[in-house]
Amino acid sequence: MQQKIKNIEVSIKNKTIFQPEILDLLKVLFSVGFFDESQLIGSWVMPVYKEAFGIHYVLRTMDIDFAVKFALKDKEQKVDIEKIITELGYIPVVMHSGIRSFTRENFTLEFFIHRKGSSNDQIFLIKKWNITAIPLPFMDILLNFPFTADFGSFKIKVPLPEAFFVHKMISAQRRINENKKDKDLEQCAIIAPDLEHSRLHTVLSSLKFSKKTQKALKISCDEIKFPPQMLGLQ
Amino acid sequence: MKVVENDKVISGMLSDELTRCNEMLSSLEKTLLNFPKGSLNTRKKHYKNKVYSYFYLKYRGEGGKVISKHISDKDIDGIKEKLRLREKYYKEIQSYKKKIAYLSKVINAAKNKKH
Repeated sequence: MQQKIKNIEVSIKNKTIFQPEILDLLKVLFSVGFFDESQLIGSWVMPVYKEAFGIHYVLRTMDIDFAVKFALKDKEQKVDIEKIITELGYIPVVMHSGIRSFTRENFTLEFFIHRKGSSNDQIFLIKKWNITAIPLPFMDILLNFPFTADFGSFKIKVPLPEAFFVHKMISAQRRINENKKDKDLEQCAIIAPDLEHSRLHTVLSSLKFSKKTQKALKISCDEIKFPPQMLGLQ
Repeated sequence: MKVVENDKVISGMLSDELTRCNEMLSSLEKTLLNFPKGSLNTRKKHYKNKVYSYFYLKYRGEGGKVISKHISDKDIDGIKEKLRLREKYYKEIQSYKKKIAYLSKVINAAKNKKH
């Protein structure tokens, strides 16, 4: 059975960690209940980590990524995220992969869901939100361990650093792109000293790793000089 | 750009960003083809002491020839909206082109310094 971590809510004092247009976007997404079951992920969690946990990492990409929970019931109340986003000035673009992204002044919005097993689906339509999402493995690690960042007038959900760390340690070794792998591992190395052991243990005990994943974790541990025993590995 | 030369992660991020911008630019340009080009104008015609106005779309066709295409009243709103959107996509394309030029310059400068 999956262990739970008590809902953590951190007040974000410095509202300037995001540009005004990103704050507007997050505010609007909060207002329609998007963060009830979704999270901000990717390099844009770093400013939140800095404020909440003192983790300092300044590099950010221009793509703003969100992890979205797969909505089982189509009957659930639908919210047209595409309409909301386009009203903020973003324009929809169908990429060559078929995914519908949104862009505004070089910023790109993309959505991801957890991919179960070895499905080859490249895109997934989430009717509840009227968005297409890219299925990726191990997204459930992020989605199952969120914390709330309270900006005063709105709140967002972000993965706990421990979940983010484990996710990156695994995904780094699955990357085809070496640049992305290096970035993943650099982020892990920055986060590692600030990990809270009990939370890390809870995240790890909820997961069952295959031999392949254990091997990936060991290689990542080796590359960032992190003790594998901390991840329950020999 | 010493930082770009020395830091593998930063130079990698810039290269990835360049790839992302190129992919986005190509998709934006493809989307732009779905929108009509040109500008909407009105033409006034006098007939039997009355003045009638017609909308027409003026654009350059193949070979640079200027084409004026009559737009019926029922299509005006749709065309106006499509032209407005075209303008938005066009602006975004320009912004990506600028970014690509900047990133290419930084990456190439770092590469040249290394050699």
